[in-house]
Formats: sequence, structure tokens, C-alpha cells
Amino acid sequence: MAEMMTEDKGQKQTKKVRLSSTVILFIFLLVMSVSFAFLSKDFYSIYNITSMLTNIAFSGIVAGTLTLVMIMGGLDISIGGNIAFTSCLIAYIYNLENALPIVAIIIIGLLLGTAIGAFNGFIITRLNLNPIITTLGTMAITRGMGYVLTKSRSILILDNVIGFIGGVLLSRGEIAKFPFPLVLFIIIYASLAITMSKSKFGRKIYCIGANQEAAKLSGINVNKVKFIVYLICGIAASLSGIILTGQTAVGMPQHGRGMELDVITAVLLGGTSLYGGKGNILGTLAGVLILGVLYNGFTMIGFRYVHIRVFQGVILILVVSLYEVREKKTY
Amino acid sequence: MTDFDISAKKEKSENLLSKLSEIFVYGKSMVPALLVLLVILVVYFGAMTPNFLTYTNFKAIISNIPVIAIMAVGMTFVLLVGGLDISVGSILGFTAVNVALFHHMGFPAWAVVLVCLAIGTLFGSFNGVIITKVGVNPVITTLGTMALARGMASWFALDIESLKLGRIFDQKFLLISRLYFPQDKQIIPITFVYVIAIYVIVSLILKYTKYGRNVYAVGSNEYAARLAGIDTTRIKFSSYIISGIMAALAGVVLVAQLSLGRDDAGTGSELQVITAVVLGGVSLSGGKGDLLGVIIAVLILGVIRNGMVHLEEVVGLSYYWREVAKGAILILAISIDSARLMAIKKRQVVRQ
Amino acid sequence: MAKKILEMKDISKQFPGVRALDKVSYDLNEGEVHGLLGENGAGKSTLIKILAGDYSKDEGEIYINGEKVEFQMPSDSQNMGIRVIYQELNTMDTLSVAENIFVGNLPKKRIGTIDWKTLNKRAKIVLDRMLVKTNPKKIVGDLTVHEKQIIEIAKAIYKEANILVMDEPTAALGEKDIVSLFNIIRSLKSQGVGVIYISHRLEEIFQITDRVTVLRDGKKIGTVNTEETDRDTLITMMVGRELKEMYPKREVPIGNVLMEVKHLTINGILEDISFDLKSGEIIGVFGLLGAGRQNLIRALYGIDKFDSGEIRIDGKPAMVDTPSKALQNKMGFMPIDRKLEGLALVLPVYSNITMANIDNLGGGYFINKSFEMEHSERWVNDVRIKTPALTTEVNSLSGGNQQKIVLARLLETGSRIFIMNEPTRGIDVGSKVDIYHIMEALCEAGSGIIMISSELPEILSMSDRIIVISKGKVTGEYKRGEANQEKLIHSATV
Repeated sequence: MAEMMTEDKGQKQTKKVRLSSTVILFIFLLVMSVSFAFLSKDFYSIYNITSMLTNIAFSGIVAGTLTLVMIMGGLDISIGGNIAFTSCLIAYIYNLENALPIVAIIIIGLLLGTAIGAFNGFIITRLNLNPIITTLGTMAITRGMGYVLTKSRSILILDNVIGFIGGVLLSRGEIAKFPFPLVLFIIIYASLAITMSKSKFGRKIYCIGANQEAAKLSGINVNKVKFIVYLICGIAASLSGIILTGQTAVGMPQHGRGMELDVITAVLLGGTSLYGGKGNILGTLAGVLILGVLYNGFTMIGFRYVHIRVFQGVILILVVSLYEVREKKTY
Repeated sequence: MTDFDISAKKEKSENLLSKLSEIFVYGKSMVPALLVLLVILVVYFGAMTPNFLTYTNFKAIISNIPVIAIMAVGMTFVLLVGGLDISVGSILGFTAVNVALFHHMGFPAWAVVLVCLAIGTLFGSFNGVIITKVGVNPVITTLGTMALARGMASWFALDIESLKLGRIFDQKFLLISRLYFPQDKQIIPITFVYVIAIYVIVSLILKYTKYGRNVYAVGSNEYAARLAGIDTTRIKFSSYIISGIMAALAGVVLVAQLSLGRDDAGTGSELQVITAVVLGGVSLSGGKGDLLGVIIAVLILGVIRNGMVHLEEVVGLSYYWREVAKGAILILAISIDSARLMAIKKRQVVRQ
Repeated sequence: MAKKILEMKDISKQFPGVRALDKVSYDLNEGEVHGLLGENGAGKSTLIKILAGDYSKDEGEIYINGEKVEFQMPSDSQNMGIRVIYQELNTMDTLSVAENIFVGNLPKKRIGTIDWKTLNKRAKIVLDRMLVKTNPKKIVGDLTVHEKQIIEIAKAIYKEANILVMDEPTAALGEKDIVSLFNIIRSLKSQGVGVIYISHRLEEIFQITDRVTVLRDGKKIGTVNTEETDRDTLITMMVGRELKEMYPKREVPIGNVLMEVKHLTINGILEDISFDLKSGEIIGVFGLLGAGRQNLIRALYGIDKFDSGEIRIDGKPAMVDTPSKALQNKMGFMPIDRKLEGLALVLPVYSNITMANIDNLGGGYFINKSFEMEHSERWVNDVRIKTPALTTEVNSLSGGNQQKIVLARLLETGSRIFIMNEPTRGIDVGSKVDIYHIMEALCEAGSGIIMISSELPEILSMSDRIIVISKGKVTGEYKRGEANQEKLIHSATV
């Protein structure tokens, strides 16, 4: 029997606070959803809910993998550029003379995402670079490639398969019962959640984020794990790009602009710590849902995109500040 | 007498490669390598395209760099204290929109400039407070401010849309960027003078004032600086204010150049500014670097940008490769910075 | 009658789980060098950090020149003329020598701008006073560690300290430099500066100090005039009589050779290190700061490369070039700084314990949670870790329990060869004894331990053999019973 020393109450309280963080988030989500339903007639329509959830799925998929990156102590700002490049690439190939079957094109898109993620992972680990600035550079490179491919024009891509992946069939007005992106979203989140909470790989991610040196001394192959995580993030981003292309039926280099802010805010809102080693997929889920409902609700009430952009910035700073202050109080 | 000459092996300066690798020492500056790079680029573009090495083209290059050059000064301060500010492009954008707005409201040029300075100070202070007082990571903070400022810029611009997209007609204001010396022959643009003046003054501040040396001290070793009695919070805070003001000033110059105050002004410019500053030898880890390298790096980026436009005419290289080049150069710049740091660490392997 | 420039009365300081200082009194006279002696964890650094304004005291008073003072932060202490030179260097590597020495106080011209010429001149003067030839314009980042330390000392001296605290100043200095340092100290004495001199090296205490105070386990044991005392007295004061009760008696049969280190060399750092580790044996590695002990064990565990030599495990050559390979060869490593290198402070106890054995927590991709909890609970019991639950964040445990968690991690991986780097540094006596008992049990089970320790009583009683390293070479090898403090220190300063 282990000797149980009574720790001071402070520690126990901290744990309570940490646990109910996620619960608080979901309660907040509920309250918000109900409020919006009252404030706007159109909020609760099936059309709005489905389209809102589809949008959430789009950025949520990236938020999920970004959670892994941030728990590990890194960051990936290149996701927006990845989305743009993937979108432009598949649209470009689709419109070539001897076009490949659409499934092959989609696979090429995913391969591109893999390559981008691998690039990020490789230079960050091998050259020991600051992840933030590195992925800033990758973002410029990938989005730039998108511009190069399309010469700044949108490329139409009308195809049923892509449309299906995007969650809308081409005959608009008809709504798929369960949009495909949402299915993907659920599958991916379930997988990520299991990975992080139960798998050996996920545990290694937590260890590296909590103390990279200790992880190294414990025999964990830090470079390999980091590489894989950035890789996964790259694939997810390209998947999102494909979904977005399907939703909008165009490949254009402006896709995904500004979504890195969204995604990072969602992850941080969900309780992932910037210092690494702390966070979970459930929290990110709450964060993604809250932000999604918030922005959708605001739009329904009458706020415009520009107003929402301002809120985005404010919310990010607010969320981070609050968590920072709380961290300081606890320790 | 104990003899403490430098114990590192003396670099053999025989071949160019080892001379270039001398930048991997703390004491050596990036400037020689940068000058070499600049010359190579000028020669390359001059050889590849017909109109590059012309007087008109040089004037074009010179007139395109002031905006980035001015912002680079602010970014230098932030990097020197060991921070980062990715909101500068958006602050510029917000400033641009406000120039149009206040111009429409009938404010005289000098008042508009004052308003812009206030805007820059406000945003800089906001960044400063969140980063130094609340203690949030500078990148995340300025990411938020970036969205905030850009959003506000678009928001304000919604009202101005009805006012012909923010066109500026006040001649006095336009003169801010359109004055030449001498006015008739249009040889030296006043923006060039601004850049030279700012760079000279700030370099003097960095080298010869207590404040400037404290900035280096804080960036070099914040703990030791605090122990030495330096108010590190105040120094870090001030760097963000300077960055904000510089971004606002750059906005004024840009609007006066274009006679247009649009809400998308400055989009993506933070990338170029960071690239210029890091390439110029200002280390991401703080406490190291000076404006001489920065201005050369700004020139290098300007030459590349201009050269690629010419390349497109001649070789058919799409103009859009420029974006890709920007990102690639940034990654190159930070790789060099990182390599320098690693080389220094290797030299310091010590018996423990 | 000497003037008292510093008086610390009944200073107490409590950390969670540990009483670092218990009503300690210490004073300093004008122009005096007053040594501060004590083993690791005795409370020396806590006392100094309180004086420096880095820590706050729980009880007690401080008087400077008879006036009571309260320090809220380091600059308060500095304004009173107190300067501390720590072991860890705090140089500004991107700035020049001159700027480092005068940081925060650069000379100005009449118009207010920095006067570089005067700065460099003054720096040269200070360096000359320290009998050091170095260009004040050189960037400090390019200097060696030894040179950097001289800069730190110069910085303190310039600041016209009234009270100068030196924490193990000679650790990284050669003999010539130590001589020059002592000359400087003597000249400071004649100027009325009071020096608090912290050192393990007894012969230095006798060379330079006027009085000596000995601390042990947070309490002041006594203050004596250096002239009136001798080594044995000081050692007894430092070590105390409880010595025999604290350390378990060790009678473990020594078995086969577990690991052979043959001619290990790292160019410029280690030269031709050879020794064997046998089953059931504890090898103590002793040496002063800068001797190369850290380099040695980092090479053994695969963190750093070595240039020539061979490591054999169980008779076969082993390529240990990563920690992972080391673990595969059943080697376990306990780092010197558990917070920096050892523990994931925000993760729970069980996570930290199994960190080095994640791949073996059940087959396949998933962690067998009950397996993990079982194992963790077992170690928590065996190693006597005091924690409210297995899920508690390691951050909230005491230092001793944190150290035990690191140990449990090694046990979980089934290591047979243990490399322990200052295993009982900064932990309470109770936990120390626990760890000693565990080490004994490990030896009984056939493991071998290589232990770096700078705590003389510890290394003398726990080791079956002691290897002394100085300036990268093995300078002494002693079997149990053969060594004593003087011999060890003698070998270490060769």
C-alpha cells in the first residue's frame, strides 16, 4: 500500500479546475447554441446546422492534428498555404488534357500534403529551426505555388466525387443527410483521441512536449516522433483542402487564408498549453465547436465577415491571456 | 601575467569558403557575405535581362524599398530583445485605411500623420502589455493582433468603400512620398532620404545611447540584464511600441506613394520584413545584429523582387514565383542563423 | 576592533518538504575573508540567495553596517554593495568583454552618448589589475569558459562591491589563475572589501580565509578562526557524527564484470579513461568542477560521442551511441538536474515512471493501462514515493520524491548498469537514506552503479571503489577503506 501523504488542498483543487475546464467549455457551448437559436430564426434550420457543421469539420480536421503538434511543443502555421496549394494542384491536374481519374487526383493531393508535412518535419528537426518562422516560410512557399499554378485565377472543378467529399452534391438545394466531411471529422477525431490517450505514440508526444530532454534521455526517438507529427498535420491540411475544393467547386490560391488563426484559437481554447505536454482532443473538439457556432451565430445575427475577423483576434488574445494568468496562479 | 589570447583556432583565410564560413563566429558580421550576395545578384540579373542595369530601374528599386525598410527598423528592435512581431503588416493596413478615412473627414496632412503615429503607438502598446505584463508568447499575441488590426481595417474600409476606394487627393499629403531632390529632375526621392535618416539615427541610438545598449543587453541575457539593474520589462515593451510606430509610418509612406489607402495594404509584408531582418544578421535568439546588415538585406530582397519581374519578361518566369521565393529565402535566412548558433555551440564544448 | 559590515541573524527558510535553513547566523567584518563550508544541501546557496535578494527569508534579520535591511529583489541587494558571483556564468555572450564588465553603467560623454574609448580603456585597467591580457573589444561568446569566469569576477570587482560573494570560484580555474585570483582577493581585503568565500577545497580555505563557518543540514555548526583550526576539525564539523547511522552497511559480494571502459578519449577533454564495473559494485567518481566527469558519463550513456576507445558490456563490444541503445544494453541514467533533464513536471507520476519503457507497456500500438498502473504502483511502494495518487502531477511532489521517481523509471526499464549523477543532490535526509538503501538492494541483486558525487562523506561510504578524475585523466583509484577526504581532494587537484 503506498503511503498516501495528504497533499495540501491546493493541488486537489487544481485538478478539479483542470477537469471541469472541458466540462465548462461544453456547458458554454450549450448555452451559446441555445442563445443563438433564440436570437436568430434561421439558426436552427437543418440547412444552417448542416452547413455549419460541415464548415466546422473542414477546419476541425486540421485543428485535431494541430493539437498533436502543439502538445508536442511545436506549431504549424503553414496549414493555410497547404490547403491553397492542394486545392490548386488538384484543380489544375483535373483540367489537364489527359486527365487522370478523380480518385487518383485526390490521392495526389494527399501525397502533396504528405510532402509538405515531411518538408516541415525534416527541416525543423534536422536543422533545429524555430517551428513558427519555418512554417511561416512554408506557408509562403505553398501558397505561392498555388498562385504560380493558377496564375491567380480560380480553376473550376466540377466533379461528383469531389463534390461528395466536400459534402455537397452538385445539385444544390439538396442536402446530403450526413455530409461526408462530418463523417471524416468524426472518424479522424475518434482516431486522434484514441491515439493521444491510449497509444504509445501519443504518450511519446506528451513526453516530448512536457520535457524534450527527459524524453531523449529516456530513449524516445524525438526526431522521428516530431517528423511524423508534422507529417500527419500536413496530410490533414491537404485533406481539408480537398474538402474545401469540393465544397466550393473551385481550386483557388486564396483558399484557407486566415484559417491558421481559427485553428490555433480553437486548440488553445480547448486547453492545450503553449508550453507543451498538456492538452487533449476532447478539449479541441469543444474549442472547434464553440468557435464554429460562435462565428455562424454571429453571421446569422447580422455581423459581417470583417467583424468576425476582429473577434477572432480578440478571442485568441483573450483565451491565451486567461490561461496564462491561471497558469501563473496555480504555480 | 596570464595570457588569454583567443583560444579558438585562427581561421585560415586562404580560400573564399573558409572566409565566408567566418560568419559562423560571434564576432564576425554578416555584412561582407551580404555584400557579396548583392553583387552576385546584380550581376546575374544584369546579365540575364536587358533593362535591369538602367538608371530608371535603379530608381524603381530604390523607390520600392522604403516601406519594408522602415518596418525592418521596428522589427530589428523586437528581434534584438528576443521577441517577434507578426502584426506589423496589419498595423500598416489599418493605418492605411485610417489615412483615407481622416483624409475624407478633411484633416490636414500633419494631423493625419499624427493620428497614424497614435495608431502605431496604440497597437504597439497593446502588444507590449499582453506580452510583457500578461506574459503571453509573442507569436501568438501578435498573431491575434494581426487578425484584430486587419479585421478593423476591413471594417473601417466598409464605410470608405463608398468613398471611391480610399483615394487620396490632398497634394500636401502626397508630397510626403512624392518630393524629389531636385524636384524637376527627380533624382533622389524623399523616401530615400527618410530611410537613410532613420537608419543613421537609429544606428546611432543603438550604438551610442544607454537605451540602445540596454536593448542589446536584454536580448543577450535577460536574467543578467535584470541583475545589472536594467528594467527589462520596460525595454521589451518599448521595442513593441517602436515596431508599431514604424509600421504606422510605413503605412503613411505607402499611402502617399500609391495615393491609395486600401485595407489590404501590407498583406504578407511581415514575412518580407522578418526575412530582411534575419538575413541581415539580426539573430532570432536576440542581442545580436545591426542595421547595416539589415539595409543591405532589404536591398537584396528589393533586387530579387525587381529582378524577377524582369525575368518574367525575358524568360517567361511567372511573376508568382516571387511568393515562393519569399518563403524560400526566409527559410534560408533562419537556417543560416541556426547554423551560426550551432557552430558556436560546437566550439564551446568544454570539460565539465 | 573589526567593523561588522554584514550581520545575518537567525535566518530560516522553508521549502516544501525541506527546512533549508534553520536559524542560521552569519556575519562578516570589513576587510575579511570569511569562508562558508558545507556539503551539498547544507544550505550555503540558500543563504547566499537570500543575501543576494533572489530568495526571501521566512525568519530572521539582515543588517548592513548596523542598519537593518529588507531585500525584495536582486537590485536592492546590489544597491547595498553586495555582489555575488555564481558558479553558473551569466555573461552576455553577444556583447564585448568591456561591455559585459560595465553593463548597466557604461561611461558617457558630456553629451550623453556612450564613450566607447573610455569604456575600453577602463576595461583594460580592470583586466590588468586581474593580471589578465585580453582584448576588451572581443566578443565574450568567443571566449573559453575560464575566460568568461574571469570576466564575471572582473564585473563584480568593478562594481565596487563592499561585500563580495564567491561561490566555488576556482572550480574551472587552473593553478596560475587561482594564484592571480587570490592576489586580487588580498588586494580587495586591503581596500576594506569583505569576501564570503564558498568552497569545497579545504586547502583553499586555509590559504585565503580568516574565519570559517560550517553549515550542515540547514544549521550552523560553528564559526572558527582559520588559524586556530585544522582539517580534521572542519571535516568533523561538516560531516557530523550521524555519519555511520545514515549510510547502510554494505556487504555485497562482488561478481562478474558488467561493463569495461577501455581507453575512452574525447580529444581535448578526456584522455585514456579505463575502468571496469563489476556486478554488485558501486564505483564513485570524484572530481572537481571542470574535471570531465560529466563528459565521461555522457559518453558512456551515448549522449555525446567519443573519439577513441571502447565500451564492452558483458564481455562484448557495445556500440552505445544513443540513449536508446544504452537502454537496450540495460544501462540507466539519472541526470544531475531532475527538473531540467529528468522529469516531465506537468505529467502524472505514472507517466514519468514509465517514460523510458513505453514500448514495453503491452504489445501492439496501445498502452496496457492496468499493466502500467500495476508497475507504477509497485515502484511507488518499493521506492517509497510519497504521493497522493499515481495521477498526481509530478510538479507538486517534494524534491526527494521527484528524485525517487527518476530512480523508479530506471528500475522499470530493468537496468543493470546504473549511472547516477549526484543522486542525492538537493533532497532531504530521509529520502537520501531511502535512495542509499535502494542502491544497496540493487547491488545485492547484481547490478552495478557508477555514481558521480561531490559529497565527500557520501562517496566515501557508499563506494566500493573510487575513481578520481582531474583535468580529463584518471588521477587516483581507491578501494573501500583506502581513501579519505584529503587523499581524494589531493588526487582531484593534481
